Amino acid sequence: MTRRTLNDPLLLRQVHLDFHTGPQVPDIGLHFDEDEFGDTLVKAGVQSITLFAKCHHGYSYHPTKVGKPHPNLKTNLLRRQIDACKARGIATPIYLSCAWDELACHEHPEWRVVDEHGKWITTGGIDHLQGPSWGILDFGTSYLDYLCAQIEEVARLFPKNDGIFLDICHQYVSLSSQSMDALKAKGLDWQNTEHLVRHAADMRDEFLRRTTAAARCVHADLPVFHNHGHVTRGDRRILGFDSHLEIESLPTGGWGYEHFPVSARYAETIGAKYLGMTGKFHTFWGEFGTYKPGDALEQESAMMLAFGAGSSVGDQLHPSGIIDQTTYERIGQAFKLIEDREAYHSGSEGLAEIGVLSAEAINDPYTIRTWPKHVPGDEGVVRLLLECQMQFDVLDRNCDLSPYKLLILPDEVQVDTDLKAKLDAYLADGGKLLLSGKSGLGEDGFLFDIGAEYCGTSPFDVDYALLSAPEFGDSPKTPVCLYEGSQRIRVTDGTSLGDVYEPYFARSIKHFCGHQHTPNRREKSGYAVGVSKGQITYLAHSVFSIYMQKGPVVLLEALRNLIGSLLEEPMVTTTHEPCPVSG
Amino acid sequence: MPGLRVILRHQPENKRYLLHTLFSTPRLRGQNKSTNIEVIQEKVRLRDISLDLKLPRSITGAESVDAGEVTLSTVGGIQRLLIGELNGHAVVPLSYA
Repeated sequence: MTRRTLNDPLLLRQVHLDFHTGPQVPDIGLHFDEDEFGDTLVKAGVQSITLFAKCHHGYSYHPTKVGKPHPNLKTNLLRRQIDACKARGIATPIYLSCAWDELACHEHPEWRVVDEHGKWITTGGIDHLQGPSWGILDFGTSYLDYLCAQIEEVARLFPKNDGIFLDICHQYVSLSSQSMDALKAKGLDWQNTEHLVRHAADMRDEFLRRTTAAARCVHADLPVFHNHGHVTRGDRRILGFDSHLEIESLPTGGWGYEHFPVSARYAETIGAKYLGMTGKFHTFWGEFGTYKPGDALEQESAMMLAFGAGSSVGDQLHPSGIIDQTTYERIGQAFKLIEDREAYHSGSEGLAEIGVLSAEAINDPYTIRTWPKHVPGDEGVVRLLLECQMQFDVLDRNCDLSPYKLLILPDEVQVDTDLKAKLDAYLADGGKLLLSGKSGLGEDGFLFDIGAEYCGTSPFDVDYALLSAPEFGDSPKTPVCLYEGSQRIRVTDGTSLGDVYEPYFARSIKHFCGHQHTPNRREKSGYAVGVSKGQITYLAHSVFSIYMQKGPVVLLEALRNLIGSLLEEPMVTTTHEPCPVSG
Repeated sequence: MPGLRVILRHQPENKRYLLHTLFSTPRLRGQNKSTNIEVIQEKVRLRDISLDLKLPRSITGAESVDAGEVTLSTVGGIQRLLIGELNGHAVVPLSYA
């Protein structure tokens, strides 16, 4: 079987086979059987399986002159796994853990990340503050030399491999001795947080450059991916290091059902090749003997296909090397669906009428993030658009805005001079803008002529919106609680979308009323729930974050109607509620 | 119906749009690290999903990939698609001239 290159399309049916195995566990790989392993994968329709060279415990599963094999490894497991797969035409990318390596933490504590208080940090695990969790290594130390030597060794030992998957690619701010020396050498101050962040970002860039080069020391066209549990929106530099993206997003493991669609619509928009990654676990990685229903894996994989992605299902191999038959029966169900529908994937591209300018992409593209990152405005607008059967892309500042009838800037998008110029050009070409909350607000009020005057943020913890404009459709005729104080606006030459009713007082320890909210005054506040002027519509609450976090159904209906009216002719409109039937 | 997903893609080489429909009802099944575990546990079959379409190109034909009987009609100048059945996931390839 020839090896795969970064020019090949991604295979649609993949498994990510975790193998994080502590040193106390005996008989590693003792019961591995090539035929059982390979035939099980074939039967389940697996086209590619990511296999472990080095796990989070820091042990290797092949002979190594750089690292250490697992102390109880009974066989050349990785070689035998690869051979079993290759003999059956299954691709085998190879996995190495990066910032988590318990062995390196133990043998070289000077390589560990040291925080501002002089302490080692740990992350991950069930409860990283109280229970076992992973030590974090600093790529600004000699650990990077050790890691790159491990990657190169793997690339040379397995020259027919189909890619390198590098995991835990986080660089935290670190005051390790080597990082402090490097900071001083650069003339930076280790007591200055901004300097620390800048140095950490430099070290991450260095890590990306060197690990990519190490992975490609034999084949310059080898697929490489650096995972950190979230595709950070707005940082397109990753495309220089990652041949494709694997969107780690286990819906039951903390990511939820919106994280994948947001990430996929962004990945496609920036032109990346991408996979979805879910798990066979009931909750999260690291479970043995738990099974997500086959229907769930099937539906999650179908969702990936609908968003233009193949499916990678996460599993963890038992330390003995015995593959779990129950797991692969269920994965097989999901992969049967993908196989049957592959003709409806190749050469397809997304179709969108709405562009969502991601708050994460615009505001904060370079912050080092770990999984699972939730930006409530970004995920709230995507949840809402999915529930309204509307078609959207998720955008950063470099995207072409011209394809979209409507742009949504959810809740907190900070518009700087460059973005303002781009949005002005979009408006001049006839596009429409929907802004909410603090989106489009500058230091001196609104950056756009929204037809209203800005009067500051409400001093109240809650207020009430009378959604009276016809654009909201058949909304309640009484003020509805929106769980936060709005941005106060007085309408000038725009059209008001309704009145805000403010509470009698802000709830506090000094005075409160009832279980939750101070009721509204009977008279209107004089501030509006929103305003429209020409092509711009503004809503004074962080409606998308509210929808994500509180989920008021009233808001779903009102926003469905409002966004529908802005689109005028949505690509898809449901004409009546479909009927569920049994069986 | 908030659980109903309709996701459009375009296959220009095949001169068709792909209308993916999905429906599921995740159930709350405890918590992990303070986030809810919501598992898709059952399939619920839907019938008679009626969609009005306003796509960049006028549709000339609709096929069914596990979508039951699919009917395309024009109502008041608008193209209406009736999807007979949805049991989890279905694709309706929509061809144009």
